[in-house]
Amino acid sequence: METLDFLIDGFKVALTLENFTLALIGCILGTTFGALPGLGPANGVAILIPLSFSLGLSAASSMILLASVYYGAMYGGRISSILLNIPGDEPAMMTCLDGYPMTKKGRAGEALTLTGLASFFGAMFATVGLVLLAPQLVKVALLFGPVEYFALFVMAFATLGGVASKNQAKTVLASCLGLGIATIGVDHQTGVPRMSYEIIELYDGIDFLVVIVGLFAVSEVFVFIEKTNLDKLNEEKKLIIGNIIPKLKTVLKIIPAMFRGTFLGFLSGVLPGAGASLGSFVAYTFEKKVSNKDNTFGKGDERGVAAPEAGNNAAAGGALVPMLALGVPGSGTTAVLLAMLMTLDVTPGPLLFKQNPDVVWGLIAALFIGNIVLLILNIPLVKYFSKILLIPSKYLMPIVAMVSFVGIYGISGSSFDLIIMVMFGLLGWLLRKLDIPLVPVIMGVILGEHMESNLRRAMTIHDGDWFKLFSSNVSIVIWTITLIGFVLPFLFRKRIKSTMSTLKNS
Amino acid sequence: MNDRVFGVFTLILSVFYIFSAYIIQESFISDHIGPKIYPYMVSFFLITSSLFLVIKPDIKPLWPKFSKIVEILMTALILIMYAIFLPVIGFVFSTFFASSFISWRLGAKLISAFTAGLIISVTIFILFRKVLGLSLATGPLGF
Repeated sequence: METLDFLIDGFKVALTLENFTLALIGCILGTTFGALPGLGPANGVAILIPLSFSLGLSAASSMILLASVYYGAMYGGRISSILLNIPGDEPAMMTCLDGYPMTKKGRAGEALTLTGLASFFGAMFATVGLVLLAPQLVKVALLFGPVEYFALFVMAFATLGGVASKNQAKTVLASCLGLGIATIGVDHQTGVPRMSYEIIELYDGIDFLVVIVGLFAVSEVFVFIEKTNLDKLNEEKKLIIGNIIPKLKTVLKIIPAMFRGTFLGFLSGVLPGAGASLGSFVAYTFEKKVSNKDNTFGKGDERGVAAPEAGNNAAAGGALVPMLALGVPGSGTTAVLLAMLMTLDVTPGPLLFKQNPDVVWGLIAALFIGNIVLLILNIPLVKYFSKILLIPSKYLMPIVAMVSFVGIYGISGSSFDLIIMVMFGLLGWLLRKLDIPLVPVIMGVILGEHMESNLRRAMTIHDGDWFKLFSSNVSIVIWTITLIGFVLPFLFRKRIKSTMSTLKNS
Repeated sequence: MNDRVFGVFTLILSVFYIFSAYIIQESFISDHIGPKIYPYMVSFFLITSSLFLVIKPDIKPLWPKFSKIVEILMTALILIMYAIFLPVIGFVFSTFFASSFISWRLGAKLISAFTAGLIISVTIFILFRKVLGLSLATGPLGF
């Protein structure tokens, strides 16, 4: 049992006082970020990365902190879905459907406990899945050369919209914006400056953190300014949680739903291009098909909250598999985590498991511990977190904005970076208005350099023969998946759209 | 503005991008495909997707009132000024002004906005500078 030895070593890393404290802080912050509408996991992670750099945390410690935030946000998202009918983050959207009706029946406390259990179940299973699956995927990844890696990067972008993609052209456009931004600065292969127009600040390229924090956190401030009357809506609502202990019968009733949700969620997490949002969507839709015999779904069925919550937490864990094993992330938040590792000179992918076992296994152990902490935070202590929802955004958003600025300034100490960040904030607001996804932009900025260098290395190896990109068996498989993944949404779009709209209307 | 306008904008952007790639000074040592080909590839996809947006736009988004857009641009301007003045007048003062402004625009009354600004800037300074030891901008007064 080699894996078990590694895992024990991992627990030694995760249980040092420093790392355990970081995991605890991460869980609390993550639940908070998840609970607050408008501040999702990607946002939370993006704000904290610069801080963890400035504080000089090691790769293992930063990863533990940020992955706890990531997991925590998945738990926290459900709180405002259930209590306010406003999803705390995107993956928690499906939890509104049956969660809020439960609240209206005075069963908010029960809904929170059941979803807490489902989240725990999904996340635990996914972490076990990560332990079992990632090392296997690493073995496959060892067969990959530059050709295969280039194909893999293209696949990550082509499948990014997922089956639920609204408009593939917009996903491609957003990816190209990101990839274009990534080419600014000195070319790593030949040392010539590109797209910099003699502006010295641009020779180093645009830091991905400036782009991420700008696009997510700063644009959020503008979104809030646009709809200033949001606070008034919240003030009218009272948060009554009530009894948090469900009947044993109810718990037993949701167990099959949790299993199904977890399985589907984990699967959609591991597959490229599908994040937690798709996980909860698939889990809910499937559960409704299986269990909606008495037409109770949408009216406060317990299984309707358990399945999507298990699904999104399992998907969050599943999404870590390709990120750690291949170095190719499938979702926005995992892309941000990947970028952080690369900045700390840790290259995810097959070598990570050999060279930095402390990072991988420390992280995995921390996720196990974090889950238990999160279960405690999210069931007995859920009352205190729901109080956070009462903080008006007029005091919250300035804090978010200022902490973002502090983080970026702490790294570079450059006003130029901050100005660029504000520009990206405006761009982010504009893109959101036009319904152009932000995640592909981020992925482009983060992965662009690697994608290009793999392409150029492949061309150098094969003497500029472009057909060699499609020559090996592995690459042909990847290209085929890429093509299917890109075309599939065109076929499924109508069906998913109609399902979505009937779900919203009901 | 709708998808179509944005599509035209990204088309112009891609022409500019291609031009920027074209004028890259190649060095005498180079790998097989050089620094220009990859940007050309990116712009090919940028142009294709922009054309799609122009030809087949989605439903027009719901734009806020003109006054709101001015407000958003004002906030952006304030944040840019914040970035510029941060090293000049120091962290506490500039953060006080910037966070008070955001709080005020998000609907707080002037007095509570200024109070919030003061609390935010001082708390962040103490927490991040004194407790966590981050390097924050210091003005002539040292804070």
